[in-house]
Amino acid sequence: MSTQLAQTARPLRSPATEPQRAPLRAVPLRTVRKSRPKIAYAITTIAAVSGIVVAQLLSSVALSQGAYELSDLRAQHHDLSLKQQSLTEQIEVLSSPQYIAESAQALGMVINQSPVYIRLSDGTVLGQPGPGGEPTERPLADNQVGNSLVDQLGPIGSKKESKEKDSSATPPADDPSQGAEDSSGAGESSSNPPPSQVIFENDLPSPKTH
Amino acid sequence: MQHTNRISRRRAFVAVICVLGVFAAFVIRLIDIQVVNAAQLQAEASTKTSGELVVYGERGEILDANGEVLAGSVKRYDLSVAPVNVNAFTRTADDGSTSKVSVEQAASEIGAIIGVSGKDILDIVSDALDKDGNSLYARIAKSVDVDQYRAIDALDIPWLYAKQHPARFYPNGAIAGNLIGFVGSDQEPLAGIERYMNSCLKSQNGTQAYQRGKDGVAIPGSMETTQPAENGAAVKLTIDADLQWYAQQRLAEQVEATKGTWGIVTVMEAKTGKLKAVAEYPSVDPTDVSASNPEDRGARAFTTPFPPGSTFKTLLAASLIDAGLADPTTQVVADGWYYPSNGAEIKDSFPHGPMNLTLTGVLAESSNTGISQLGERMSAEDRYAYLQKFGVGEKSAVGFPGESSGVLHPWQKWDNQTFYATMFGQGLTSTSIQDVSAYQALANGGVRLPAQLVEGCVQPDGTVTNVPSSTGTRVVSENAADLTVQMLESVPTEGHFGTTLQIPGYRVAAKSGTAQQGDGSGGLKSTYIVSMTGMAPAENPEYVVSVTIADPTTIRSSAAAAPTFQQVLTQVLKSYDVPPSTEPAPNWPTRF
Repeated sequence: MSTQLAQTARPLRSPATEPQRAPLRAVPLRTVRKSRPKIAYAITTIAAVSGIVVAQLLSSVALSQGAYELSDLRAQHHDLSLKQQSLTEQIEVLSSPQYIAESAQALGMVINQSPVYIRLSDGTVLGQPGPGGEPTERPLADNQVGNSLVDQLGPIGSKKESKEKDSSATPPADDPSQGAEDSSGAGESSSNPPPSQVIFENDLPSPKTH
Repeated sequence: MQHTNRISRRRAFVAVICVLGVFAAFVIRLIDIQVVNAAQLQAEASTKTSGELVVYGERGEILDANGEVLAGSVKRYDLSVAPVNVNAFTRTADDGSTSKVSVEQAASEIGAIIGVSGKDILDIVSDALDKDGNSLYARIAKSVDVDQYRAIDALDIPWLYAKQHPARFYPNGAIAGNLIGFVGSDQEPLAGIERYMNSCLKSQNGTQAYQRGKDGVAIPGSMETTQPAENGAAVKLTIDADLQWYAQQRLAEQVEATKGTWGIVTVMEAKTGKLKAVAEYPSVDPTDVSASNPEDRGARAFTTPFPPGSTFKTLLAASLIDAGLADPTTQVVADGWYYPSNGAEIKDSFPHGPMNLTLTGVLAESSNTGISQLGERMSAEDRYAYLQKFGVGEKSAVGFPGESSGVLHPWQKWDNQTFYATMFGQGLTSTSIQDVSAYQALANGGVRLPAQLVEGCVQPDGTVTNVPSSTGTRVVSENAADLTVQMLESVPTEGHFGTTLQIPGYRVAAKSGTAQQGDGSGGLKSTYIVSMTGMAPAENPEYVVSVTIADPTTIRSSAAAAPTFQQVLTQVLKSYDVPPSTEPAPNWPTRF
């Protein structure tokens, strides 16, 4: 304030120079108008700054939204990987030899103790075939090789997986008579068509396959 | 004036002191926070704003020769509750509806999943509260599986906690259980391959740290692995799980049928020394170890030596031919008894008069008196050297935990009876692995290969380390080995076993053994250790099979082991597509 006073007071101290000065007049209106566009700069700046602030806010909202989504997807992934582990465990137990052997026997399958080979170069039958459809050795006794994981599944055919999954996936061993019918039916149907013959071509015998 | 000055100066002084005091207090507190208790406070803060996860490394798998999983790693969960917080709660369903759940209801829901009654769970909670009214921990169940955990998790019970931990999974049960071994509840390897190959299998747990918001959700980008978890490598065995199962099944049937105490079936690939099956009965199910007797949990095939009996006559026959001291037609008159000049007494297992036997006939009839007379042609020192070359008295190359070397006393310490007894597999002991390995040498043209149980340690990147050596040593000449195998063909065709050792289409070579065993107090047991060791096809042996049954009582001789030998050998030939024999057997004469 004091400096302003000093400045306004200053010309009074040298009245001698006064006549040389042009007479005072009002600042033309145009000049005032000309200074107005500077506000536009300010507005632009403020708008830009607030724009940046808003964008940053939005992006951080989006990012944190993404974090929730990510967390959600991770949970889903975790759940699915647990499901996968559970199914893998089941497959491995179901594919254990004990389970397969028991299931096969429940279906009436037997072990063939007489391996027989056909030598393709001359069609010779190597080995001695046993009577067809009959076990040539004593059949397997009940499972002797413990597997508590298979035991947990319960008796073949009535197991918990039939509850959990498509029941058609289990072997039709729930009813022994059903299984017997199936196997005898299969035996009949396979005996009806003529036995497949070995077709000899160019001295090199090979079975006709489809 | 002076008075007022003094007062104002005092006031200023007090004010300054106060200001300084407050400043000092702040400084002290600052130092306290920033320096003295900095670490503790930081740690406290970080537990509120950050979390740490243990990332479990997976223990490596044990695979069979075909990649079938014999032992794997799975997740299991321990369930616990905070008894003090066990109260009724409100459950929000997926559709947003809420329902009140009583403690009894929650307990019966949990019980239904883990297979106990709701009352059992309430009892655990009330017991814990009786001991400590503010109890925060009581275990409800150990090691529930993934399905149960997912069901439990869906119940959304606020006071029920599940802690994940890794566990071992043996999908094939007792198949090769004696070889695989098992781990303790803390994953500590206790037996078998689990222990023997632990340096390959073991994993390293890692940690992950993250910053979290108020709701516990990790702040994006803050998750960092502070210590990466390392999975264990896989151990690949030479064992074939399917064949192993078949051998165990057939062995179990026969040991039960003959009322024996234990049995072993060993299958070895003749041209590689790889063990394809080492079946035992009784055997351990690694999932349920406590169900088996402690003495049945190891691998008898490696750890329990026994007198091999007459199967070792074959080794002497091969040694005699190799040294040029005999051939398949060498003649000897074998009587029921033989009294050599050194005072020993040799008896045959069955009474008979003089028989005119060839060396082939001695093996076919399994005559102790015959082999004793022929064995005299070789010095004890040479015989001992041959036995050593066959691997007797020395641990196999497998080096299984607790493996036995058997007992082969130096020849200088053999007394008069032992001098003869060692000719027919008494007075010394060997393991089933040593027996099959000695026969492998004969099956492989006289070259004994190191027995292999482990193919190697398969690293995650596919490289295989710990590959065992496969450098063989020559025991006898190829001619001696082949002639010996040819002589053994007379056992299935002309021995005491009828057709029980024959496999239609294949030439089978085999030798029986019925060994006397000590009763531990200087006498002999009334029961025997019976065995059958052999190979097929005899003209070019691919596989060696050995069956041993201890103390059978319904059949006391090696005939007890014969059916199992035939069944397992048939299965081996079938499984590995071994073509049937095309050349006729030489049929060396057994008598003259």
